[in-house]
Amino acid sequence: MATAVLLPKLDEAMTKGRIVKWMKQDGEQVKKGEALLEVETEKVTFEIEAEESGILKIVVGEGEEVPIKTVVAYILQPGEKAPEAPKAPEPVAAVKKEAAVEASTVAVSVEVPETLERAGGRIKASPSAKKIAREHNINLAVVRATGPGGRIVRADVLRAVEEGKVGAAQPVREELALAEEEITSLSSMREVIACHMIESFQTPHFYLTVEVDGQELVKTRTQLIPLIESKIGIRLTITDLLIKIVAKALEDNPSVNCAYADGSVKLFRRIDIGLVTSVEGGLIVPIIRRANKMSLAEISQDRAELAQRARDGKLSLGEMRGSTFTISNMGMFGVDQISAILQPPEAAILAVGRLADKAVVRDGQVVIRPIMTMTLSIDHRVLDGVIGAQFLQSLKNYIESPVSVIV
Amino acid sequence: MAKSIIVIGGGTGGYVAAIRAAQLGAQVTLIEKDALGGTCLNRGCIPTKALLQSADMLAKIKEAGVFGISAGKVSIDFSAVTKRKNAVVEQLVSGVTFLMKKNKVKVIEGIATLIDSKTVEILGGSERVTADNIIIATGSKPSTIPVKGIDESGVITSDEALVMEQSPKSIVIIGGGVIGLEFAQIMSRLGSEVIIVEMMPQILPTEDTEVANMLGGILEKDGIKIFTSATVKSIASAGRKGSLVSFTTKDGKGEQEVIVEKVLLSVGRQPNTDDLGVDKLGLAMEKGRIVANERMETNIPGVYAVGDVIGGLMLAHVAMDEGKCAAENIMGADCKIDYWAVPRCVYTSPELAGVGITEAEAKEEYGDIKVGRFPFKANGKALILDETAGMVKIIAEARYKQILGVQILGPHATGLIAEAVLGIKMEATLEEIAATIHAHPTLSEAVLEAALNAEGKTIHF
Repeated sequence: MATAVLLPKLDEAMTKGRIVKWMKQDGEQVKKGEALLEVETEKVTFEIEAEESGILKIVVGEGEEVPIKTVVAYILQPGEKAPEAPKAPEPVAAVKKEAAVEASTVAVSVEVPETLERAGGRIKASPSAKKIAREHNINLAVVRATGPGGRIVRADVLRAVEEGKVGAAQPVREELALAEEEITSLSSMREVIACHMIESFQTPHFYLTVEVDGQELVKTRTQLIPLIESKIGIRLTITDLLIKIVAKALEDNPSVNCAYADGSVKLFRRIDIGLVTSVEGGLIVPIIRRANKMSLAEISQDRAELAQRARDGKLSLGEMRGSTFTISNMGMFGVDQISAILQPPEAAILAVGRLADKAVVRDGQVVIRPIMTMTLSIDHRVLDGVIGAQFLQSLKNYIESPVSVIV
Repeated sequence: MAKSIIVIGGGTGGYVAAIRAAQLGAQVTLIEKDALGGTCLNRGCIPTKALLQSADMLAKIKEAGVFGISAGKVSIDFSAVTKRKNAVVEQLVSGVTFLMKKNKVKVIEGIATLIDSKTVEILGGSERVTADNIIIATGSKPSTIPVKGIDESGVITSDEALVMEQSPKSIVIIGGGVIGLEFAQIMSRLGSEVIIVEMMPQILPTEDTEVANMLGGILEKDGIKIFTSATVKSIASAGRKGSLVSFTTKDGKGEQEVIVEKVLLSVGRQPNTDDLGVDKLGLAMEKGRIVANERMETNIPGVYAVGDVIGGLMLAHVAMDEGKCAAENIMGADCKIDYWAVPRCVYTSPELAGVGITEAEAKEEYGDIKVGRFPFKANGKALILDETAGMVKIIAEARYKQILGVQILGPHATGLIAEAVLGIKMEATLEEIAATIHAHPTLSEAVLEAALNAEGKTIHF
């Protein structure tokens, strides 16, 4: 019997995946256990292995995005033909092609994908929907379909118009403009980032900013670098120190370590700090778990390892879910000050700018100090200014006297 | 272990749910108090249409001369008409019985009462059935109105009208909806003097005014008296002559009294939850109907409700879709009912069928609209059939020209509406219909021409 190769569901939140690359050719002989293809989900890439030996018959090509449980290929035995597979992504294929699915029990899975097939495929949309999309200059590929069989209906396009998925409506000069534009479909990662951004901006939030004197922080780091480097071979960063300090400040101000969830406040007992990390094509947020229980060296080691694996695209989804507070440090990129966007559902995020020498007044004298600007973004549904200010005050105290945290 | 499901009620909603659930691997028990097929097969759609067919055949033969055929003297054998109607019903009921067997649905005869969300008791015995899920499909029954004398023996509902042994000499039909109009035509054509008393300003109050009034005119020409904006005040016995019916006309300004043999009460139908024990289970109700969401779920987890018992559009084809949806959802799918494109049919002659919204509703909702009309008297096939009364009317919003509603009054309107139903479901615009080649000579050309007419491009009128 022909063995179907399905796009597996790796994680509760996973709904679809994009085929990055086929490692075997269509029609090639494959052995059980051999890697067949590479799939990209929201934030990671993984390989799917052959569960059976036989001849590979590819159904879904490279670059295409399909919902989970879609048949992406068949492994055929000699003389066998591939079943008439529904061309992915046909979300209700499971219902329509019941006969093809042998299970007599529940073969019903009507999952409408978030978006339709993009690269090269046919987008199903009603005549009315197409007209409205044309008028509003909406790319149907970014419209979420709710109609039967993943069809885009009028309401979907109207929703997209409301959500502002409108390409600047400039019918005049459109052709000219098109020549100077390059349209690339979003990577899964960018799509998730885009979704998060919209979600974040729907959160009523505000910002609190403080300047801190980084002199002691720099001094402490300089002292600790050789110690830690000799111990674990990793060079201590300002970020490592900040993680340690933030974890301590969260312990002192537990109410900041929370999330808004369906009309209630979820207070976290654990302190898991997400660290915004730039990778090629976007950013991801690996998590330093239980940072408050870790030594500086342990944090340093964890951070270095996560960052490396993040750059290699090898982090699992689990390693990037469930942080309770997030730090975004853009100091190393020479940014003076940033206001970060919340990482839903977390109620707060700390954005850190660079340490820059500035003239400040100490004991009535103008002196030069390395000054760092930190901005706390807060979800105002659950946290107020005073609590945020107290938290920032703790941070400031620890940064200006880091020994109290380390010892 | 397979999932087990109890379906209460073997009407169109119930038996379709049972079949679909069984197809998906469930163990299904269906409880029916009377006959499989429910109202539709036994007391509704099917028997009325069978009677209409006889009435229509009679009318056709009377007009045979038009086609150059002399049919001689024509007479009606009412008992044969009834016999044929019963035969059609029996065949369909046995068809449903066969489908139950084929799909291994266990059928229990009896009245079901809910004990809890997984248990049902059969009334009059101690038998209890349990299952993982329950689908309530107990249907509806004729509504009544608070009028003095409504309990008089001469007052009947559609249930009794279908088993009458002969057509009454005269009848007042209270309510000019689908049921009232269909019986009006059956009885009028079979020799009764018919008076329709409708409370609203038009017959078929939810249909497009222009088209409904056009049908009203045709029926009046056939000899049926229609009073709209008229309210029945009282019904009293008139001894052997029948009943004395008093009603006001023209919003109370006029008053009429008639003595008729029978009074047919056809003022709609109401959800039937008799003996079901809805209170015991705590089922959420609203104006007598069980509240169900778009997935057919009630407020009690695991308990679903479909068909007339949840109110809304009380139509057999809606119940079927709801039944299918409930079964699939129980078996793990995510089916949501969409009531946007539901055809509504009246089987008078000429037939009337509608889908989507009326001209008045479209104006209110969209403001700027386009309306296209095409009369059957300009359609070749209609002329051939000698059935030229009526028209096709298409309503679209002006901006994108999406079709919002279609009404057809004319020959085979109930079949012709299918094109419009698909068009509306798929959100077609006038252009899609206009650019689709329709066979010639057919009645369907009238749909094409109506779409063209909406944009002032009619060819044949």
